[in-house]
Amino acid sequence: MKKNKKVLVIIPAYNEADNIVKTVEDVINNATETDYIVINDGSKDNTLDILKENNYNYIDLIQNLGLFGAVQTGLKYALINDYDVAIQFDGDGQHQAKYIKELVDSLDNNDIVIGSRFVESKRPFTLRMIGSRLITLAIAIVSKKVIYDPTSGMRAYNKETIADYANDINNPPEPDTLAYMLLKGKKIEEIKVEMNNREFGESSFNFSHTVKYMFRMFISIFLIQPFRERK
Amino acid sequence: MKLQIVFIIASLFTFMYVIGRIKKHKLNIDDSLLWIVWSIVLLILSLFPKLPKVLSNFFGFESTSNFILTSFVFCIYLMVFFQNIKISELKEKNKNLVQKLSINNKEKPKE
Repeated sequence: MKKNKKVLVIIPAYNEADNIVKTVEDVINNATETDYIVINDGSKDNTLDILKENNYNYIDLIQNLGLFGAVQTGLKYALINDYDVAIQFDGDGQHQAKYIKELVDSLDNNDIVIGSRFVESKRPFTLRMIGSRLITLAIAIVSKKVIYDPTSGMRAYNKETIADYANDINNPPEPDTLAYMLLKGKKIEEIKVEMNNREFGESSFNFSHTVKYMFRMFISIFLIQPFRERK
Repeated sequence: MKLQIVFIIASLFTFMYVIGRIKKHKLNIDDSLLWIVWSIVLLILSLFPKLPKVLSNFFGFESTSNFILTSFVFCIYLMVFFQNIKISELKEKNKNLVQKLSINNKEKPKE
């Protein structure tokens, strides 16, 4: 890792009382030389109390904004405080902080680096992973670049892309914006990481949610992203 | 035939206008989806005029134009209704925000 690169780990947390301590301790212990910020997205459980008790560095949103708004808050904070690199890192304990250094290093030659579960290993045939393959295909058709794990929530952004994601109305941290970034000529790379299964709480994905999500992704990748401005 | 061309042009214009709004950062993608789908449906109906005819017969309408008019009005009703729900949500959120901010700004009484 190059010295004097200011790195911020952004940890969005919504109702993560069971997982947040483990996640933040992991970041503090295994990603030294980085700062972190937890964005409490109006949690209804006692996530906020836990953040206060442990004296963690956090921003408390007074209203629930959803993942997009929460991550964007972190990116705006990174922009204001002049960070060179921002890492998006789930608060549910799925991501491992030991990979952060690799992500940051790889950002020397790239604009966005994704922590990917499937660079080498194949995706299992569950509904979600079939969805993931279809998104990979859609992005490849539009941008001619294969991204094996487009739905991964573990991403590193360089300074330029931080500004882009922080200020644009239509850049949620979702796979369709990856297609847009590729069309803009940004370089995206994937790094092999392993992820833990969720220990507590349920993932927000169910059947109807997945179908809606896929629908949104397809319309966006094929019919919207190719026509957006590429300044 | 004439009507078909009018519909095709209308659907293309809808699509182009929506994309234009997105380009100018005036519309977010989630809210644009409905209009994009709308323009696609319009395009499909105008490219395959047999389709509305078949549907119209299936539902028992006397003429296709009746069917089109009725289903469009129904769609607009739905859209207005869901917009209403969204506005209610926004009002509630807005009230919530003002209350929380005001409580935070409350000055402590002088001793």
